[in-house]
Amino acid sequence: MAKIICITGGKGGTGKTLIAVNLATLFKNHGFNVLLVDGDVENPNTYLLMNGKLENSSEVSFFEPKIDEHKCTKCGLCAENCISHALLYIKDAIPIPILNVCSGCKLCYKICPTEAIIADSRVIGLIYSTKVNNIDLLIGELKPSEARSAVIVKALMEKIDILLNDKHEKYDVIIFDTAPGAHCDVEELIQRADYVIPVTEPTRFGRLDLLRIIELIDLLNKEYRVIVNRSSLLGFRDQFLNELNDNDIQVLGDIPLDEDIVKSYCIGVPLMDNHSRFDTQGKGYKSFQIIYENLAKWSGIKT
Amino acid sequence: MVIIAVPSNGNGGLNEQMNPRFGRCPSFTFVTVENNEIKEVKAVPNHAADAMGGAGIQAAQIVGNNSANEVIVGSLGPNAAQSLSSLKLKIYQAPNQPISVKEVINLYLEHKLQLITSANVSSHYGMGRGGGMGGGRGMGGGRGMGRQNRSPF
Amino acid sequence: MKRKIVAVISGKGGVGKTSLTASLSTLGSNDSNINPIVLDCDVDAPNLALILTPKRKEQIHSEDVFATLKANLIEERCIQCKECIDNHFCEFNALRWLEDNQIPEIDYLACEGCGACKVLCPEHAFEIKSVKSGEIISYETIFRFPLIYGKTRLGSTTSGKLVADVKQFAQNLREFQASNIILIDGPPGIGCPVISAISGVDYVITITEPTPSALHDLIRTIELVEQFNIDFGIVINKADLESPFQEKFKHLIEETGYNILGKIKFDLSIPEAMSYAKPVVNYAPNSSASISIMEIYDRLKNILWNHQ
Repeated sequence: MAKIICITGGKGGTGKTLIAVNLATLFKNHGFNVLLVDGDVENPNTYLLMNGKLENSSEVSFFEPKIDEHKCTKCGLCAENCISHALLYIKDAIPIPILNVCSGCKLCYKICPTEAIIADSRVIGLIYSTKVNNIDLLIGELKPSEARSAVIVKALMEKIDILLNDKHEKYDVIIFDTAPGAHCDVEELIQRADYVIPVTEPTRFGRLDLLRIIELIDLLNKEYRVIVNRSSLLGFRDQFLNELNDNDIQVLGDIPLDEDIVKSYCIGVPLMDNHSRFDTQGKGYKSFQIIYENLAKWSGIKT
Repeated sequence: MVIIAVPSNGNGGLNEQMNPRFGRCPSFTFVTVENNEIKEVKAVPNHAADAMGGAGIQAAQIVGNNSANEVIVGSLGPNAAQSLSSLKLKIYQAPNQPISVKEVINLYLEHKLQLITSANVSSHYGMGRGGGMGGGRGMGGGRGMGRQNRSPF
Repeated sequence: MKRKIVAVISGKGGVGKTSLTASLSTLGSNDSNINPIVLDCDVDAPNLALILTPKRKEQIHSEDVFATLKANLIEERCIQCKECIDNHFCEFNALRWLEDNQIPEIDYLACEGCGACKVLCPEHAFEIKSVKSGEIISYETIFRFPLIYGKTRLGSTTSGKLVADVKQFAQNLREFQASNIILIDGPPGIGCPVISAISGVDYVITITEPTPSALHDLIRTIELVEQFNIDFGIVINKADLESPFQEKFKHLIEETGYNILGKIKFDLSIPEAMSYAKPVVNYAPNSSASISIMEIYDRLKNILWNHQ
């Protein structure tokens, strides 16, 4: 059974994607079959950090009611029962769908007595499935100006179910990279995970958002351990780690500010990639090795 | 003959104040105009005023169901804007100041209201259009927080 | 001066939205003809209150918002016909059949409150109830202008709606009439809460940094903003970041011809200021970051009120 590790964090820009990509790389280096899932569907970035391409796409569609004007008797039943008021109905006129408030519940389609509502759909995003450096990558991407990111995340989950049920696919580790925040998209991914890693930084913002994401993780009853990124910022490392310790928040490791990390991020080669030619004695490199060891121990994923 | 809908306060009517918020106004006053003269005035309560969601769409429904052809608004939410334009109603912008229904209708009759076309309706919708007078409150700097301990927390 | 609404957004998180919004707002409050109201619409992770602290704690106003709808099973009405499952009432897969009890169970998190089950159940065994979706907090800050922020209740699935509620709340504020700039600190991403945050604004500031991820997210953000037909300007944070990507970034940005509102060089004063819980323009007014932000402020004012 593949173990699912979810990298999340509440605050944006703390290094979730960086960590997800490098952990996936480390697992691959150790001979595991890895699937990396980019669940930040509003802004998926994983592939950029690995010089990957968006390819092999499939469409994600969303329900859109269309009215068959010949069949419609203008009774208004659909509009009357639509809780989001997505059907604008003026008496003796054909209802007009107001699509941006439509929840996609299909109730109108199901209850129309004359079957005058056609269940049409529009593409609101894509799922890409690709392979970079022997890491399988599944990416969800919402189209700009579409609002329903949760639909893309759900489609990602369905895709994973299919993959996991396929006897030929044998993943040892699945790594999720989530969006910032603590909303339903993040929730859905945490829900599916066995181990959750919130990434934070030693700032006021980092701390507040960490506490909030932990509240969500607790609500979902999941095990978690924290990674503190940019831990050397302004010399707050020890103070921050102590505070986490005082609050019984377990830490998987910390990553100091490191030029190699910035460089790897910008050229799209993961720091921990075997061919990356980064300094294996560097601060960042070493901290990732420690984190990997701790994670392997915690999750029981071992060679 | 045109019927103009005006979002209004209280129970509506020519002497009531116009309400700047389309979806959440307490009532609508429908004014029938013929040959540039007021022929008939009818007021209808806005049951969408306290709706949890979709107030703009429901309010547009009320306007449509009362056969209005044109509507005068202060502010418009995005859904209301979309609804009104899909009903092909003419939308006029009221001046940003307290004004009675009668006064705004008079401005309409004098052709002094700006017509919002479907092209600029999107840039018009949203919260609180129009300008306040910007009377400076003349506040100095916000200082005086006291020295705090430097801390990430 | 005509009231203008400005949203600061970014696509990518953690590039400096909140720090920039905080500084722009205090610059505004020190400006004799500007009356700001500030909204933190990052309702999933509202942070602005850490910097724009209340003048008097006892005057913090907090209001629960009940905008989330959820289905509820009225057990005594259920005749265990299982039609809800067999006929797939719920498009969100929030209904599950409990074999032990022979009744449906509602997955609270998955439920969208659409009411389909309520309408479709022949026994009327479902009802729709409104539950708390979050809260709206407002107060006068130590900088004298009002701050309003929303905070979602975890698991409530209605960030976008709460953003709209925060904006609505601001309109009903006593200070609203005298205000002439509404500054919105937006959520990251390009989805529902962001759309909600930028709808109806006069100007969008989109902030980015010279990294591939941030550029990618910037492009998606611009795509969104352009679809809404809103005027926008770009702020480049950590503009001098030592990175092999700089050249490519410069090219792309320059080629597009987009309006660059300003560049902020990497400056430790920003995290420093944050560690003192102050806007950087107040903490270190002479720092390079502050000077850049002041330039951005002036340019913004010029765009908002002189370009008409």
